[in-house]
Amino acid sequence: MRIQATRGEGNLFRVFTLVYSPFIGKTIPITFYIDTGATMTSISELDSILNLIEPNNFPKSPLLTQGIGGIVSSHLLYNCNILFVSETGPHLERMWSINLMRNITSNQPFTKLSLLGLDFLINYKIYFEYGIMILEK
Amino acid sequence: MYIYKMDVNMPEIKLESEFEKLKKLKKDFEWFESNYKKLKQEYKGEYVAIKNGSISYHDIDVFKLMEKMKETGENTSSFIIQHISEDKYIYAV
Repeated sequence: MRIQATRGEGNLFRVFTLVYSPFIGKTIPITFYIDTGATMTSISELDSILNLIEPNNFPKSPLLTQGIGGIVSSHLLYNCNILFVSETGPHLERMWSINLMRNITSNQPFTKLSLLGLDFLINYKIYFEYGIMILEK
Repeated sequence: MYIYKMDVNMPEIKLESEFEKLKKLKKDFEWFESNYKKLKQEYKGEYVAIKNGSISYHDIDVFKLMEKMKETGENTSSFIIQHISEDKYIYAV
């Protein structure tokens, strides 16, 4: 099974997905940027706003998220399924939890990019093929 | 018909219809990317909501954009909402 990640903002590779958790009760469209430097798969505050999700309504992680732009708080969305468009059709990936990023202070600019992190990527073989990133397993 | 069953006591999602939704959104995203230069001339610095290959809503403030969509009863999850940056970025993540 192969998933193609193509180039988006800032020439970063990204994949289009739908995320489902029974705790939000609906599927939400999320574009994840492939980030081997991210410990956990995370949904940005912008994507939460666009999908009418308030991270503060979800259990707070004891861990903070350290990004390039600063530290944000982490909330946990449990029991997630991520739906991908693979080369052969739909592919569903189950994740125990996804991190919802939330600003600590209101004057902090909100995070914009949702990240597909190592907790997901470690199960895949990653390589490049003619300018496209392939996630394979 | 693909049906993916979640854990016991959890609702089912209809994979086939969700997959169709995902493919539509992907198509709109590809439209956004291929028309980015043209869109940047008109909507620079704004958030745009795209559906079926056209801009349906736009605003410089994401919350105002969401409010406009809410007022007309739109389901935001059926749109691709993107920000058209004023500047070009490289990312260090």
